[in-house]
Amino acid sequence: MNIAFPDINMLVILPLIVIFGSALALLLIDLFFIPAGNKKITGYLALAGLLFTGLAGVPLWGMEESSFSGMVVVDTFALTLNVIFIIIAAITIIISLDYLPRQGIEQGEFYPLILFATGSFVLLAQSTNLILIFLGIELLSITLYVLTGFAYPRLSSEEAAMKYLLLGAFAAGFFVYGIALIYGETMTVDLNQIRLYLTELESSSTAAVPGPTLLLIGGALVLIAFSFKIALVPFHMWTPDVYEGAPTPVTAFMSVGTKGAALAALIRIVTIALPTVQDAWVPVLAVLAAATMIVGNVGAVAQTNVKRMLAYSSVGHAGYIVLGVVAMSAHGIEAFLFYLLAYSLTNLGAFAVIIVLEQRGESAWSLDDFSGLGQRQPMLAVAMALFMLSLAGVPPTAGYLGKFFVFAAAWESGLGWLVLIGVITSAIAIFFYLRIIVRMFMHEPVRDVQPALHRSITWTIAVAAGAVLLFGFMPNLFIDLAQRSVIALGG
Amino acid sequence: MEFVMFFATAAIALIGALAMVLSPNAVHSALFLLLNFAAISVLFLLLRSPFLFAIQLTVYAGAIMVLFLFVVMLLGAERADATQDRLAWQRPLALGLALVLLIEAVFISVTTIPQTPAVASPEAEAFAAPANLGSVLLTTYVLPLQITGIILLVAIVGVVVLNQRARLRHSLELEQK
Repeated sequence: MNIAFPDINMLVILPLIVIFGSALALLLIDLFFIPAGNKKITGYLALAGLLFTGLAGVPLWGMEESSFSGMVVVDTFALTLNVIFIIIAAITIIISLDYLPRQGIEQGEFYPLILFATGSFVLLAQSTNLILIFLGIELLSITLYVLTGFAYPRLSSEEAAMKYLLLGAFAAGFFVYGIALIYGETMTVDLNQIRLYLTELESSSTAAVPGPTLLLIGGALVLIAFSFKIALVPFHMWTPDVYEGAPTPVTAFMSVGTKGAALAALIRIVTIALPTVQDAWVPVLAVLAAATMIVGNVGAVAQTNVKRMLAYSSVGHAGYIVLGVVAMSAHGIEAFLFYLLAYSLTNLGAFAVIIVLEQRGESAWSLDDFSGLGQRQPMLAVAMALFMLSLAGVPPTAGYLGKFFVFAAAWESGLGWLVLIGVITSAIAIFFYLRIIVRMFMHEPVRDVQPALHRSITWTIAVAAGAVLLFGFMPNLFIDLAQRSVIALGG
Repeated sequence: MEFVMFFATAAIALIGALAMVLSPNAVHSALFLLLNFAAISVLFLLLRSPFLFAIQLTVYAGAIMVLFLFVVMLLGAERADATQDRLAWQRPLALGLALVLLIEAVFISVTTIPQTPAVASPEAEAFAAPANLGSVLLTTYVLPLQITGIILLVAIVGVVVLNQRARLRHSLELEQK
């Protein structure tokens, strides 16, 4: 039997090799060389692994190539996303360094698991094949089930992991069924070939040839699976409970990384495979985005638990990011990338502040903890206020520009009603973000909270706050990069 | 002959599936599911793919069923609770929706699907041959194969981590006593 090997270019998956390689090596190093009381070293080594992954992207810059039978591509879009993912993972690891021992849940495997999850983000940003995207989503999900349950003796963590697992299994079922239907229609799982099939169908379309019905049903099922992962309404039910129960650094990681990676894969699917059937899916996604913005922001108003409030707010923000996708234009993709960066920095910063205030074994995260913070820890309160303003979309922060860009992109694409809903919900959102600022600066302290300000986390908060301001004043630093990625995507 | 064989196995598969859902005893349900799996594996044989037949039997009927039975017996959950079903209102709704779906499926299959059965092409016969499957896995799909390996590794690490945690809690409780 003659077996023909396809052309394989290892350079294309270099970032993947580096990050999975360092995760595997870290598992072994942690097991044999790192003493039990000193697991922080594993964290530092994981940071080194992330650094190498970032460096591996440097020689690939400007490259545009696909390999492994067209399953993975490397282009500026993927590499730009990689940078964002590495920043997210690095901040997550730094804010975990002191949090884990303080909560008594320190275990060396935490850091390799974060690396594996980041590897799945990288994979999702690079794949152009439905099977590979499915595997990326599964790797991401399984890692996050474990990380969500990482505070296992705590009941809320166990409950969160269980809920996430059950709903995630459903979502995986939808995904596979969708792929099967798409394959049934097109006989391929490759995104480029699906596009070829659709254009051919369109050119030969007569009354006798029906439209791609099976593909549309399959596409709808795939969209449901993505909605679960991105937490779009009405598939967001799990979000508040899971985000509240998971260890806080994991919540921070999930709320930005998962959304970014899943949306990146969704963008690849819709821009490469489905541009010819836009009329079918753009309205659906637009309605999902509208519902998400409304439910997320209105739901957050009623919350007095800050962690739960941020969970609802992250649902709302998913809606805004999706605006960049439904715009289906070059500006939409740019807006998506900028919003993802701005939202990641802001949200990670906000969660870092929560981690500083979080006492051991406590699971209240009450608004009262923030009362009078402006008197006791003025710098911390100012940073938190900055993050809240950025989440609310108040100038001159990065969050404001992010919102501006997605609204502008949606407006250009003729989705005026969606922009209107976005602006109204942003106005609602200002209420609950400002409530925290009012608590911090205008209320007397209610109870004694000892902030756990270690050097690493202080620096992280400072850097995140600085970046939120920097990108607020000088968005061009990142916009150029985003524009180049759009060209790479053929947008 | 093939036609008769198909209807007999299809009927057995359906009966197995129905009995699995309706049986109040979890162990009986699992055994009916086994019947369903076996019937489906015969369907694969009718489609001329002995390899999938063997895989269906060993993986599903063999490994996964044993796991099911093991978990059911470990949890002692053989009997469903006789307590009041809180979601009772969903039952007529589900039956109605299922009926609609059935009518739709019958309508579509009567009106659109061509009546002459498709003849298995030589390509289709070679499609699921073990040699082809193996070569495709190691050439075209080599990257997904590797990623699957990583997924399994992460799952194992996850189980070990969570299990260690459970033991840690146990020893803590012992200390407190």
